[in-house]
Amino acid sequence: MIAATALFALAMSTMAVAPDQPAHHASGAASQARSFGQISTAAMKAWNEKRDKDAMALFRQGLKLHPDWNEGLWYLGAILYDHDQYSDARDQLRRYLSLNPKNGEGWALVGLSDYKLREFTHAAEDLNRAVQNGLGGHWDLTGPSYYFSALLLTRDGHFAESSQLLYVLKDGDDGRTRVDVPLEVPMGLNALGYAMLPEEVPADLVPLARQAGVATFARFEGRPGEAKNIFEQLLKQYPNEQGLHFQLGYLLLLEHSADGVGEMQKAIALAPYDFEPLLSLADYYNDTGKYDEALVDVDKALALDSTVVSAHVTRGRILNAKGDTAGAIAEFETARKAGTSDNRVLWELARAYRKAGRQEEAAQVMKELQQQNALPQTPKQ
Amino acid sequence: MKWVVAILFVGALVAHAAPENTSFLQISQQAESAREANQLPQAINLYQKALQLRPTWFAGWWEVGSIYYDLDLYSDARGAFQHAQADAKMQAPADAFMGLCEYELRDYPAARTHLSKWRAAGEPGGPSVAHVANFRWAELLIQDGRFFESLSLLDKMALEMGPNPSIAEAMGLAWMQMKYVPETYPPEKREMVWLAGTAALWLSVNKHLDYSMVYLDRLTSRYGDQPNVHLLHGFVDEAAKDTDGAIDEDAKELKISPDSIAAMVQYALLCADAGKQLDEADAAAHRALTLEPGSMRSHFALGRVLVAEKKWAESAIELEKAEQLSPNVSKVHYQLARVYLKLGRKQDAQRESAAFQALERAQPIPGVVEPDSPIQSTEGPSQ
Repeated sequence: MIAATALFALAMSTMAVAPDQPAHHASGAASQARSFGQISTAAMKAWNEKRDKDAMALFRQGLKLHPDWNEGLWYLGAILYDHDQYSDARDQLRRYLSLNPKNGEGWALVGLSDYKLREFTHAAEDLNRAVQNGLGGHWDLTGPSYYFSALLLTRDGHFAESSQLLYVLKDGDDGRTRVDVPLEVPMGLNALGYAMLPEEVPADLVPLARQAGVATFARFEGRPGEAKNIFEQLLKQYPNEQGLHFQLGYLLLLEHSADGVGEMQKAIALAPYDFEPLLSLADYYNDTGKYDEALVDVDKALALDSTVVSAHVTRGRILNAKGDTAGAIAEFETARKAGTSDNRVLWELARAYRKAGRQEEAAQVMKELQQQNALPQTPKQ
Repeated sequence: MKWVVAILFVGALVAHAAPENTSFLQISQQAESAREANQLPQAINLYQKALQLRPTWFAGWWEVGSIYYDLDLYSDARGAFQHAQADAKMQAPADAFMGLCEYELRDYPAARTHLSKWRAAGEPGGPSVAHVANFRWAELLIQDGRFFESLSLLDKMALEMGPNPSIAEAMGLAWMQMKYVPETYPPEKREMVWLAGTAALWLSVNKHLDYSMVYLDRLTSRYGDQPNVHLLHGFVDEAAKDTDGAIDEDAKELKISPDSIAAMVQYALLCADAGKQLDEADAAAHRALTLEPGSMRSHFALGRVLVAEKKWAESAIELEKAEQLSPNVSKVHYQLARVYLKLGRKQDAQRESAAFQALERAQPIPGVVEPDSPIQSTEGPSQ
C-alpha cells in the first residue's frame, strides 16, 4: 500500500501553499480578525512542529470562524488523511475542492480516501479527475493515482486498460517501478480476468496471480520465451484457467505458431463471452493471409460487443487487405467516431482515404494525427 | 457508476419565486448566472446570501442543494433539500435527493425512509433520478434482507443497462443473501459475490445461460460448501430447463442449509413440476410451512405438491391460503384453476383462469426473478 505520509508530504510540496488569509467581511469585528490570525498562525506552527493533534484542533477552530479558509481546509484534510481518518479527510478536502476544483493533488487525496472507504465508484471518478487536472508533472503523485485507477479498472473488468496503466508504472528508471508496491499480482489479475482488488484475492489464488503477472510483464518487456515458459508451467497446474490459455495463445500466435490457434480455441470454450481470443485469432489469420477466416472471427467478436474499437480496426484491416477499401474506410470511421485516442485508427484511416483517392480527407486525418502526436503523453520525471 | 444529477424543476421553481426587494432579486439573479457559468463556489455564496434575505425562497434551496450534491458535499446538500421540502411541490423530489445524500453519508435508515417516501409518491423527478434512486433502493433492500424485491428491481435495471459491474455486485450480494451494501461487505467475500453476481447478470441481461454457467461452475467449485450457492445453481439449471439438475442442486443446498426455506420451497416446486420424489417434496413443503407459518411461498409449495399428488381438496385449501396472502401471483391462480376443474367447480376455475391471464398480461417483460421465487428469504449474516 502507498504510504500515506509520503503522499501527504509530496502533496504539500507540490502545492506551494502561500500564506492564505481569507477575505474578511467588512462587518467582521477586529477582535475576530485577530483571533483568526492568531489561530491560523498557531495552526501552522503546530503543523510545522508535527504536533498533528494540536494542528487539527486549531485548523478546525479557524474553519469555524472562516469556513472557506482554503489553507485550513487543505491542511486539515491532509492531516486527517495521514491519520487514516478518511471519511473526515474527504469531507474537508471536498470542501477545499469546491473552492479549488482544478487542484489535482486534492482530487488524488479524495480519490485515495474513497478507495480506503471502499467507495470505488467515487474513487475511480476522483482519481480520474486528479489525473485530468494534473498532478504537478511528478510521478510521486501520478504513480499512486495510476496505480489505484488500475486496480479499480480491474475490479470493473477493464483488464486491458488496467494492464496498460500498470505497465506504465513498471517502466521506471533504473529498473525500478514508479510506485513502491509490487505490481505482479495486479497485473496477474488482469491476465487471468479476475475482477478483484489485490486485497480481495483469496490466499490460495495469490501465487497464481503473482506468477501470471510475472509472465505478463515478461511479455510486455520483450521476453516472450520466459513468459511462454511460465504460462506453460501454470497451465499444467491450472488447466481450466481461461486467461492462461489466452496469454499462451497470444504468445504463440505472435510466432505464427498454429498451436496458438488451439490455445485460443480453448480460451473461447472456457469463456464464450470474451471477445479478446476471437480478435487475436482474427489478427493472426489476417497477418497470415487467411482473410476469410479472419473475417469470421472478427465478426464473432463484434457480435459479442459491437463497441470494441480494436475489433473495428481489425475488420477494417481485413477488408483493406481483401481490396474492399470502402468497407475498410467505414470500419475505421466507426472506430474514429468512438472517440478513441489510438493513433493506429487515424493512421489506417488516412491510408485508406489515400488508397480510395480521397486525398483531402487523408491530409486532414494526417494533420490530426500529427497534432495528437504533439501532445505530451506521460508526466515528467 | 457516476450519478450525475439533473437539476429538475428549476425553470418552474424559479418562475414560481417572486422576489420582493431589489437586493434579493439582484443577488438571486447573480446566483443563477454564476451557476449557469459553472462558477459554483461563487454561486453557492450568492445563493446563501439570497437565502439569508429570504429563507422561504424554496427554489433557491433546491438550486443550492443541487450544486452541493454535484460537488459531493452531501451533508450540506441534505440540509438544503430539507429546507426545500417546506414547499409542498418539492417534497417528494426532495425525498429522493435526501435519500441519496443519506446513502452517501451512510445514514442508511434515514436513506431508507426518504427513498421509501419518494417511491410511495410515485417516483417523481424523471428517469435520471429514478434510475439512481431505485438503484440505491435496491441496495438498501439487500441490506434489509429483502433479497427477492431487490433482485426484481435489479433484474429490470440490468435489462435496461446491459452488463454493469455495480449491478452485478448488488446481484451477487442478493443471491448470496448477504445483508450488506456494496461498500461494507467483507473484502474476502468479493470473489464469491463477483462470481455469483456475474452469473446472475448474464442470466438477466440476455438469458445467456452458457455464459452464466461459466461463472456458476467456478462459483460452485470454489464455494460449493457455502449457503445459497447451490440454490442459485438450481435456479439457473431450472432456467436452462434442466429440472433434474436443479432438483439435485436444491438437494445439495438443503444438506448445507437444512433450514433454508428458499431451498425447501424451490425443491418442493421442482419435484412437483417434474412429478418426482413427491414424498421428499411433501416433507420439504410441510417443513417450510412449519418453519414459516403463514407465508405465501410455503402454502403455495405445499399446494403445488398436493396437486402433483392428486390430493385436490387439500391442495385447494393450501392454494387458497397462498392466494389470500398474495393475490397477485399468477402461478397461484393457474394452479387453483386446475384444482377447481378437478373438483368440478367450473365457475371458480374460470374466475381463476381469468385472473391468471390478466396478471400475465400485466407483466410485459418476464423477468428472471419471478414473484413466487423462493429467494425471498431473510437468511444471512446481519450487519
